[in-house]
Amino acid sequence: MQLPRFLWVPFELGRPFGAPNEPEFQRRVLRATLELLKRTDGPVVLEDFDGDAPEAHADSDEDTAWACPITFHAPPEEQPELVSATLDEMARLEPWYEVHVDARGGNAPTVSDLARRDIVARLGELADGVQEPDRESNLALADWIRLGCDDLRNWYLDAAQGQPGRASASELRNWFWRQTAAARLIASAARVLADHPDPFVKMLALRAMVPREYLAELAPEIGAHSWREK
Amino acid sequence: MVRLAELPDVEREHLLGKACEPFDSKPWADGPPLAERRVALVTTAGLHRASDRAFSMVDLSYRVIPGDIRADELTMTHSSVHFDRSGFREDVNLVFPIDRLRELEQEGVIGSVAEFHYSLMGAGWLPQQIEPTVAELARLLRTDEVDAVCLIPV
Repeated sequence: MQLPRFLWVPFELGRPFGAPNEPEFQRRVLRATLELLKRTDGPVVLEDFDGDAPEAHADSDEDTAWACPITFHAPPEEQPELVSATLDEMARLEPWYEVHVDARGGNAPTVSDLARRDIVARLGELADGVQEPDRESNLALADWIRLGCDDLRNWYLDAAQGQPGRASASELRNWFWRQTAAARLIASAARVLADHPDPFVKMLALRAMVPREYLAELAPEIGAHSWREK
Repeated sequence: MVRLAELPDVEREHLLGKACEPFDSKPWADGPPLAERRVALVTTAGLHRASDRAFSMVDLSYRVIPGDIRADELTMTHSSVHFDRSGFREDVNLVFPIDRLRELEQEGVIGSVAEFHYSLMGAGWLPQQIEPTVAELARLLRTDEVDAVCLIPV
């Protein structure tokens, strides 16, 4: 691949300017990027950015790793009450979500306009094998699932960030996918939807409901599929 | 882009397995000094105004982001479940540094900020499939007299 001018940065996926709420650092990255426009020694310029993101730390370091102060008691994977367990988690996290909203200065826009409790209830029905849950939305089922899961996950991550400490992206990701009933609910729905007759729903279940790195733990049946299958 | 060594094994193998065909041509362009350039941002983070249509799973369309938008008016409907969104929700400038670009304009580092910026959903399609969309964006950017574009993958 030949790109005209390219700044490589060593930050976590989804964080191309390093860290949130770090304007000086972000400006440094942007300026380093735009300065490449002065280079005329192409056809390819690939520069490494010199520096790590502020306060980034390895989540394997027990002394500095972030841990969610609320401990969820993980039920067995096949526990049938994932819906109620998820709603219970949300009730316990709600105050921290409010802290996050206050700190942020308002709610971040949602992506689905769906009510969280409705998302949880319908995911439970999908996990129980209901192919077309009754839902108050004009979205096609695949879009409803994807955007609803996004909103649910975003809400959890917002609540986690309302708590003390500053978590890295990988710490937040591990917390959500390894410790919450919500993640197990999404995974249990994905396992069932992997055989859904709608090809878009099936593709979503196989590729975009649970991150690849957690499939072996949460949905080994899906993990057995080849990711290069078209 | 994170260091490959810091990715989970399955993610590293997935990325290394991707075919990256070289371009036939060498897309290299010169231009005026940075302090005279009009700069636009183009992101593949699947950003859009909350009132806009969400991106779908495989989506070759784009969304227009007005240059005077407030950063907290933007949301993200990228189809990939694999990358972090928590940072974006803390600060949109993490993936779309519109406030930083305005600051560089005020400091005189760049000439001006474009009137419009653009967003794509950067997954689910091959590079050649997005070419007509990108050609359309290039025409729009020229109309806005943009002569520098910062492409921001996630």
